[in-house]
Amino acid sequence: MAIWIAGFSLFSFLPQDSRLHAFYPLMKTSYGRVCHQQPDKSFLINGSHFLVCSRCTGIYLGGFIALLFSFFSITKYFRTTFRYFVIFSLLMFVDVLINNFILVEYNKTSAFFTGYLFSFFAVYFVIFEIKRNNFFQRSQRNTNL
Amino acid sequence: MKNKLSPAIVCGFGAAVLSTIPGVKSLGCCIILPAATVLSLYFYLRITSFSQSISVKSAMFFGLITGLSSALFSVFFDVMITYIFRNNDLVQSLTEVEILLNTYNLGEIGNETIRILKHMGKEITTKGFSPLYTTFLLFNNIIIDSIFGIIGGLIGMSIFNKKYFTNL
Repeated sequence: MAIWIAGFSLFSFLPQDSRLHAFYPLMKTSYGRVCHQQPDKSFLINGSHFLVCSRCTGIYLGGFIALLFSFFSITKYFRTTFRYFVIFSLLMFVDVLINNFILVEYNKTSAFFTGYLFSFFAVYFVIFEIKRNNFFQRSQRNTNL
Repeated sequence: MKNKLSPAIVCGFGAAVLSTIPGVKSLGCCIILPAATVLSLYFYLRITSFSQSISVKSAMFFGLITGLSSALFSVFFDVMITYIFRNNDLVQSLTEVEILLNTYNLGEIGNETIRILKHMGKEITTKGFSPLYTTFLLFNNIIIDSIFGIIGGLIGMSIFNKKYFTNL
């Protein structure tokens, strides 16, 4: 996940004379598979656009942070994750509609944060469910023994 | 087994079609493929009459099959469209990429990259097909679609196990 995030933001932070710039066309095509890459919808840092749009940036970053959080006990406070997951999925869906059909100018900040929150709770929800399933399967096995 | 895999293949095909349509991609972004896998898991549960919960292993397997199916179909569509129109994203962005690469002082590596890109662009505009570009596209799509398919499988598993099999 960290490599994936580093990949799409790499070219914004590379020095001007870095030879890694030669990989730009390759990386752009690779990320193009999962994002429209429209420059007006992507973050511009150091004169170079990210290889994914602001919503995708939020989605990947949110997923990464959720994965990091899952290692700590802080996540035990998010018990009703399914509810959050549904709420933020709807919020992102509404934001997609508003940004593409109502607003004249694309709002990168709202796209980033709705993507971030959706992904954070989606990943956390998945981790929570996997842990829960494992717990039930283990307890079932113990009862059978 | 054939029946069990058909939702994954059909949904992968659907995802490939949607990712080919220009307007849909700007709306769906990276959500198309995971959503297709979630849908394929739902169809699978309907085929099996919601008889048993989905394990992590089978969710990942379903995601992988949906991803592979999507990758293969999307490469097929891309090759067909490129062959018909003798044009694609690579050809369209070639000048822009060349200007960009020239702004950096990359030396021999930069010149070689531009030469390879131009060669692929020339093949596409003259013959409508570039073996190198197609191979790259196939590998790229297989890897990325498989990863996103597996992520979709895990999301789908979590949703459906929560909804239909809460008292495991």
